[in-house]
Amino acid sequence: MDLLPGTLDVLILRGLARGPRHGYAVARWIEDCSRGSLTVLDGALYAALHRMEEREWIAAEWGQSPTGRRAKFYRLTPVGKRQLEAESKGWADYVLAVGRVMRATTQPG
Amino acid sequence: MSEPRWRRYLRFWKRDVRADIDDELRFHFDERVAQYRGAGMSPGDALAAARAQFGDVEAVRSELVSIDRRVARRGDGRAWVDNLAADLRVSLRSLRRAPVFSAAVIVTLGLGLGANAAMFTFLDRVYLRPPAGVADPSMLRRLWLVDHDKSGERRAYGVSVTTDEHRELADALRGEVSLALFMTQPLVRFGDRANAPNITITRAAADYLPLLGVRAAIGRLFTPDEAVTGSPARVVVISDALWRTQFGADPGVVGKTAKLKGLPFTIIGVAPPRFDGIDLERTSAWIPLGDSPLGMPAAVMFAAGNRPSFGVLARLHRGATDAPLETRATTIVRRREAGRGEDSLASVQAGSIITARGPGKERKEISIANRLGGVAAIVLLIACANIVNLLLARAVSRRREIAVRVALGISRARLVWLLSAESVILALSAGVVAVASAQFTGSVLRSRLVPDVEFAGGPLHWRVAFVTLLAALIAGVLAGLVPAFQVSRPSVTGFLKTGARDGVVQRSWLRPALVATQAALSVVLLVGAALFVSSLRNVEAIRLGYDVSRMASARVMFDDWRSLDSLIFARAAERVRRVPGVEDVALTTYAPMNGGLLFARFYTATDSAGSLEGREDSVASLVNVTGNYFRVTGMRIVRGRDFAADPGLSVIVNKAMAQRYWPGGDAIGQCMHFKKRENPCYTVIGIVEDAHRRTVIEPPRAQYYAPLEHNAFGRGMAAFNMLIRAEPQNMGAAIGAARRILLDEFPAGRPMVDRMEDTIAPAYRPFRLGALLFSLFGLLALVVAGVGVYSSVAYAVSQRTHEFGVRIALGATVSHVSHVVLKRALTPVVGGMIVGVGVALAAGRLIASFLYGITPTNAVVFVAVSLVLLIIAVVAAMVPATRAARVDPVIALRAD
Repeated sequence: MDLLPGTLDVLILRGLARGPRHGYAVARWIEDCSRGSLTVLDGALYAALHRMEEREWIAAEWGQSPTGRRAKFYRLTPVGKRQLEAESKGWADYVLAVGRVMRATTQPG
Repeated sequence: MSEPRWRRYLRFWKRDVRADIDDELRFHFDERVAQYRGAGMSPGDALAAARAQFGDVEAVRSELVSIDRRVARRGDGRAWVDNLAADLRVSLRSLRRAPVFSAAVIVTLGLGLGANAAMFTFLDRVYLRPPAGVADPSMLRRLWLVDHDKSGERRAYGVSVTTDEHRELADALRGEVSLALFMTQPLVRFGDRANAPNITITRAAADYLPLLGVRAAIGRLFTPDEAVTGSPARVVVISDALWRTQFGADPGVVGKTAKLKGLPFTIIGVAPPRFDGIDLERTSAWIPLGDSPLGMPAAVMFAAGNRPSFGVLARLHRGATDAPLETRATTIVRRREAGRGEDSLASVQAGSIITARGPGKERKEISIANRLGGVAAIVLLIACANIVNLLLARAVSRRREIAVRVALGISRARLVWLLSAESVILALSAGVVAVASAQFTGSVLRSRLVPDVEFAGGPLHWRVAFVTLLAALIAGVLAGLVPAFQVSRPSVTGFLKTGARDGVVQRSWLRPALVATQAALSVVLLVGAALFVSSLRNVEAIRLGYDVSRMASARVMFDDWRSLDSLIFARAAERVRRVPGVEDVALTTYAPMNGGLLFARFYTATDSAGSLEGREDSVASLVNVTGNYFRVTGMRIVRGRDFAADPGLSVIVNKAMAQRYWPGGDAIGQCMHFKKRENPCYTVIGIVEDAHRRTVIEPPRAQYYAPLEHNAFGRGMAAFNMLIRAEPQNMGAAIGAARRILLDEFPAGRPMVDRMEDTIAPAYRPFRLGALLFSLFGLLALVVAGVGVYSSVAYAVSQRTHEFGVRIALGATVSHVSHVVLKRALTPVVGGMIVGVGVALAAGRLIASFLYGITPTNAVVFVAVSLVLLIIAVVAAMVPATRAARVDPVIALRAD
């Protein structure tokens, strides 16, 4: 299943909500949570990470991975947190609205 | 796979975007491959799967690089700002520790810049800036009549035309040029109150304001029906300033009444805020064009059948040139002169809307302002030279600190910035001082240069203020960069080893050059000041012929001249004479040096041509006076006698007149026949000393005096000027009394009572002004240059303390050491003075026309100025030189 445009950012923000992670960890988290049903190219994920760093939704710093290697960790900035809240609510409203339409019993016309 | 070690060190200095991205992606692929291999793939398959999962590696990588480059740049910017703030804090602290140095720089630069800003605002207003609130001023033209007088000098007057001529001109130029008639009338009393202000108004045709592109901000402008020259409507458009000051910005002002010269006018509109007329002088109201000035009936004005004529303002249409306008107007003017039986070679020239751009002649005060502009620039140059000198000395004294910073690895750019941060702070503070002083100097300049002009616009324009701050900043950065570059080339080890004292005494050409420049410019300014001062003394020494300090003149101004009655005026004079402290009061047709002159044709025994040939300057002028005139003015009768109680047909001539009309012979007893040879004889009974006729600088001019009772035209003469004689200490009271008496006798009039000193003051003004301002600037230059020499020598001495210590230890005498120092110090001063003398000689002709009784190459002035400057330089150098000679060798050698 391909992602709807614009949803990758909010997924990444969500992925970082629990604390700093490196890019690979975020990719694995999305795969695991969606049980492999969402296909996100790793390249697109990294591009999104760097773009959000530029927008200052997230900040990056170098640290050590659990395997002891040097890795770039991303974390949410206050701006990013606000952004996540706004987008989550927007997403919930969207899902609710679409769901209502899909479950509607009346026929169009 | 670990990164090369060296790269880690590199990154310590500077982030490497590309390498960081490669690291991040390498980590990612390593993890992915490990994941897939953990799921049982072969190494090759695992890598292929990781690649497939990633997408286009190269495309993504280059996108990441470009994003991160942007991020890195922004980060650098922030770091730069942080450094900047830190450097500014450091600089502020170190400046606070050197308050004398800081104050010297701020004040020097501030005054220098302030003088320039004020000067520029003034010249900008006079020469560059078209009147505000006027649409497309580059297409507007004033018309000038240009001709040459007998001495070949070019003269130019504003052209005036009659309504018929205007119509003809307008018809001929239709489609190319629009024309509008106007006439400006100064000193119009506004309102009814006793101390009502006088304003300048413009009487304008209905198309005048639209021609300027002016629209009413409130209400409307006048219509052609209202601007009929024969009977103009009593309506007025007032300026925004007048609306605010006199009507409290009342939005319902339209329909109210404004009184001009006592006549009621209905306000129909208010001009837009920026529009104050088209002259330097502010215009406050516009009324429809009438054929005579406000408050003067046309019947009086044009009694001899003259037609009224008006100024013309022209606007060229797009693509039109001046040529047709000038040709047509010239034709009309020459035809008019020909109609009077006079030949004329005068021609009309179209000039800019900015009056000072000519071709009309500029006022003398404004020409002086031009030269002062140059002088102000010189002062700024001297100030800058001085500041570079001060900063240089300071930067050099910080060499040790700089060496330490260099050793700690500061970059050259950062170091230069650190050093210039100080001068930037100083410059900006100086800029603030400059703006404040310009505001002040600007108003002083205006009131000194042209006190009679009530300017439209403030003395300092915000644009000039902005440019001043900018100029301060640039001057500061430049002045800071020179020393910054000089000391940022240090050899680290050299400094740290030997200290700031020696081994590094660079023979720089810069400091002597700065001192020489200051000396040269100071010579120029001081020569200018000396010339103006001696010129002023020459002018003030001129004897005018009158007891200026014991005289005052009194007259009465009226809106309607028919109210003036000579009998009442004579009665008022009688009352003034009885005022305690008043010695005597004379009546005269023309007060001395007040502008009016009367010429009457007369014949002497030998001449058949009459007296009116020749130029005005050589024709004798007549003043009718009461018998006590010479006693009141203090003019001395040199031969013959004064008027008797019953003067009969007698005249008294001055020496110039006696020599001109009766050369070689005795004028006394001769006859003058007025108008016709057969008319009765007026006998010359005395010869009086020469007195000035119009102004302070004029050769003796022929004048003669006849009693009021018997004027040249065979009837009694009305005199409306009183001359009051009193001791200087009683003059104030006498003037007050005269004013009260005149007001009592003429309730509708406005008495004008002035000390003679005040009447003639404007004639001295250009000389006083030049002397005052040049002296001030010259003094400033002298002080600044003295400080420059002192600081330069003091610095040199402190640099060479060690050397002097050695010399003294080796047996050099005190006089020998100070001689060495003095010689080194005075060489650039003398060199600069020689250059300065050359420049001053060349520049002298620029001010020659403002000088009286002294040539700009006066040797005494040059020698005196050079001596003064030399003495100042020697004194300034002696102090540190003596200090050098008293160096204790033991201390000097042990120090540091």
